[in-house]
Amino acid sequence: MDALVRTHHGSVFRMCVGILRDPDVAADATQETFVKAYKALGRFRGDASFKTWIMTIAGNEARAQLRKAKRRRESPLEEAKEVSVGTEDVVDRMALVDQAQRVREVITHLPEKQRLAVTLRVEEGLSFREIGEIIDSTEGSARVNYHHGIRRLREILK
Amino acid sequence: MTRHDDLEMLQELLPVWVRGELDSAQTREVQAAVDQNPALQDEVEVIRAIYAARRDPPEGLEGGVIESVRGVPTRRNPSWALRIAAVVIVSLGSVAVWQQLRSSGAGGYMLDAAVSDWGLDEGIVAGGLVFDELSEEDLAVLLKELDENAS
Repeated sequence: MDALVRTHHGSVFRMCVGILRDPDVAADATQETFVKAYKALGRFRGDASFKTWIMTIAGNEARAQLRKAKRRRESPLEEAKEVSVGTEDVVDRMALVDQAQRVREVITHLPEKQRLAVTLRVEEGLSFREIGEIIDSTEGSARVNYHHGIRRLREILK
Repeated sequence: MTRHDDLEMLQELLPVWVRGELDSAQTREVQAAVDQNPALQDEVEVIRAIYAARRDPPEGLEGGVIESVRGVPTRRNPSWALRIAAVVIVSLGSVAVWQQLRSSGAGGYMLDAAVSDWGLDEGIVAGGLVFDELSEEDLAVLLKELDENAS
């Protein structure tokens, strides 16, 4: 299991950040993801790759933590930003930060499925079939979400 | 396949091209398309920016995760455990009963009788059929002989 942690903890962490949008909470979710995967290892059937399997667990875990945070009304994750902040506001706010931070911030404001489709394709190199399995949609839907996300990022980052 | 389909397929290959994971033929094909198409060049810039901005996991996360996983208690298959326990209990029980019989003498008596003095069927019928078939006179003679032998 140590080797699997070494290989996949970065991808799992980025997946959790993609949903939770908070690196500290995402680190906890990453830890919990591997503990749950370890306990469920006997149920891994091998019909998906291990990466797809653990990324699906990570997605479920991150969403569970998101729901918990909402219930506690701690709201560190500010889900509402997604709809309330316009493209121009985001660009204005990001004018003073460096390019990487700016890109991360802009990605954060994409709808979840677009955000995950883009990051899983670009950062993790997954196929659209694998992305569909992870975000619980079809391969075609994953593809559409990716193209919409990229188009939106092109508009914002131009 | 239409030009739109071709373009879409090329767009989908761009992240793989940026990551350097295409074979040489596909790499040349995508490179040529990007060189001729400003829209693809824009998209490549965005993809490069996303890839460059990807987060590294925080330092210590890997070790923390490994520690957590090692702390998870391992579970054995309960059906195997039950089977093993059943076999051990039956074995120990058999040994204990055998030793009890031997130490009380009952087992020794049964073993000695079976092996030395009587045939198996004689042991079973001796107290029943044989005595029942004796007449009163014969029984009296037998009891007298036994008394004499005992004294």
